[in-house]
Amino acid sequence: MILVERVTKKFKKIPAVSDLSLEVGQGEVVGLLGENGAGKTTTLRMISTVLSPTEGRIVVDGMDTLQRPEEVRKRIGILFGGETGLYEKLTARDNIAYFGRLYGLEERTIRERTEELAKRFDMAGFLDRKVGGFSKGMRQKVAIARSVVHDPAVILFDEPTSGLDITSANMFRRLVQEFKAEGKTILFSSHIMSEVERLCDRAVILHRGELQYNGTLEALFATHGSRDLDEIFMNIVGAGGAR
Amino acid sequence: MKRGWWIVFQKEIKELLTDRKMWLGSIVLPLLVMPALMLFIAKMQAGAAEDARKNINVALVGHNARVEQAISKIPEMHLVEKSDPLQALKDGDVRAVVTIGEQFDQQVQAQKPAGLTIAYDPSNQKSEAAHGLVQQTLQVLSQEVAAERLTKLNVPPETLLPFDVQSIDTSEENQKAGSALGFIVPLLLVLSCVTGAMPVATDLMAGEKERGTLEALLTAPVNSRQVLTGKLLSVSVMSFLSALLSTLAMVATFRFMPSSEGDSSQDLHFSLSYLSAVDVLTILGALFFVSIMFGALMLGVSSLAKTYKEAQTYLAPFVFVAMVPVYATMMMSINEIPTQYFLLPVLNTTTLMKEVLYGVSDPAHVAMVFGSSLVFAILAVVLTANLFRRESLIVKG
Ligand SMILES: Nc1ncnc2c1ncn2[C@@H]1O[C@H](COP(=O)(O)OP(=O)(O)OP(=O)(O)O)[C@@H](O)[C@H]1O
Ligand SMILES: [Mg+2]
Repeated sequence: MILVERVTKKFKKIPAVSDLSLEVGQGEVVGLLGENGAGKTTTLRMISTVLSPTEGRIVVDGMDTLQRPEEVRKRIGILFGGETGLYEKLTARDNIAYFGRLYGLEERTIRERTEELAKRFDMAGFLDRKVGGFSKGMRQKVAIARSVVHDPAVILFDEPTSGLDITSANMFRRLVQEFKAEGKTILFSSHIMSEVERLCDRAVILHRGELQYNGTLEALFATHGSRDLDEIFMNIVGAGGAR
Repeated sequence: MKRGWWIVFQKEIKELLTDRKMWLGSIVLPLLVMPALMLFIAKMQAGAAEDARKNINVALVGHNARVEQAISKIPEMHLVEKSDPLQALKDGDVRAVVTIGEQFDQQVQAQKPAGLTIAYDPSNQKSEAAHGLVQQTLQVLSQEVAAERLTKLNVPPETLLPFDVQSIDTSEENQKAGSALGFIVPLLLVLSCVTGAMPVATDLMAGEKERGTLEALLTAPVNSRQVLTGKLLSVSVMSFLSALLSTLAMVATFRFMPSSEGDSSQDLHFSLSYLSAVDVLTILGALFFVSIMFGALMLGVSSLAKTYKEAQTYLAPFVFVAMVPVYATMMMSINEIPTQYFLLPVLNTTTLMKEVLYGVSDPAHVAMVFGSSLVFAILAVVLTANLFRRESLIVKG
């Protein structure tokens, strides 16, 4: 579903991602791991067509991100963690509807879909209130609803649980499992090992823009003779750093 | 399916209308400030004009009954005693000092030119006006004395007045009003375009970038040009709305302004009722292009900033951009304005407004201004579109 082929991204000649290749199949949940500045956000931005690769190419559902960016965007839902990027002066409903319209949905579809998502994420109580007064958890729910209003086949999450309390983080995890059950393709970045362990079929580890590991967690545990993901991560990153 | 720019535009306007700050800046402010400012200026002018013609204190040094009588005959003039008349003039306590020469009476007796000096302060308009009045009064007195002497010699005084020169004020009422307003009105209207656009441009670009909503917006399947168009339209609409309301508030103020008591209002020429619908439309048309140009430029500049604060700093100089052209033609009367001024950005608009307010709008000038303004608006849009395409501007580091 997502194909990243020998992609390099440079900012003013400084590479943020170097020669990265990876593939995410339909219905797969893949965790993108790495320390601060490893290139996770840059990779997700390139897949979502916001940035264009300096070298290499990315194909989403058969569409090249450079040649048919709008087709790619239609198939992707993206959520940025930390700041959820909602319009404070608009209501939750208006925020969701705005993106529904931008994705070309009919007004009726938007209404139905909003009600459905509100029920699912337990947002009915604040759907018509302005986002400005929302808690982080409430914002996160609205932001997720907004990013999947068009029922995308591919979902990208960038550090989705950063800054959330345990309840909200758990809600998010349940949601990922539901999306997976629906057959959606999910790529999300994180540096919380337990989260990755619980949700992902596969892990991709980046360090300083380079791919360090790409495979199942089982295989990773087997080669390192340990089930402590934190320890394994430190080993890999340490080795990468020593080069 | 609805077009992307229209979806963006609708959302921006909806968001703007829920924002109290924006209401205040773009709508309430022009509606209140314009009339208040106009009335204030009118009052000031009325006051100043009245003041200049009232309570004119003149100090006299030396003595001569006829001179004293002639001066005190003018109702607005008062002769005052000052121990140091020149210092009083400097301090503005008197507006002119008339000095009668020591030999004055003897010289008059001997029919020799008798010396009289009028000291005044040209840097003080009131003193300048007083000087004119005193000079005129003494001239009349001088002619009177001459006439008496001629009569004694049995010569009719008219012999020495071969010409009868009279001055006629040819400027029409509206021209007087226009020249009084030709400075302040263009300034306020162009400024209202700027103040209408500024908060919107800041919020819609730098603000969205800072809050992280711009990136989300650009992951939606709309062309970035559509996004820009929607935003540009929002900024320009708010800019023009602000200018439109200012213009209407201004016209309404002049229509319904209570004329000050007495005759002084007539001398003020402060009614703009002569402005026709076409004149108002010409002003609005010119402002329309300015709104688009400022909207585009400000949006472009705002997209260079990473934060709301930064954008505010970058955009502040636009106020000067609006002011400089107005000051450039401040001292020019409309027939002195070079033709090329009608082709320069912003300057063309303020110059055209000046002309319209003066009551002479040349269709050729209107065409020049509209044409050149259209070109500048297009250039501004193209420039901003190019800035907006660069990905590094969109994704904050
Ligand atoms: N717009 C940009 N301009 C210049 N350099 C950038 C830009 N975006 C990212 N970089 C650089 O690219 C590198 C990778 O950044 P990226 O944001 O992809 O890392 P990350 O893995 O998401 O880190 P974090 O965990 O901090 O979010 C960093 O060194 C960063 O400074
Ligand atoms: Mg990141």
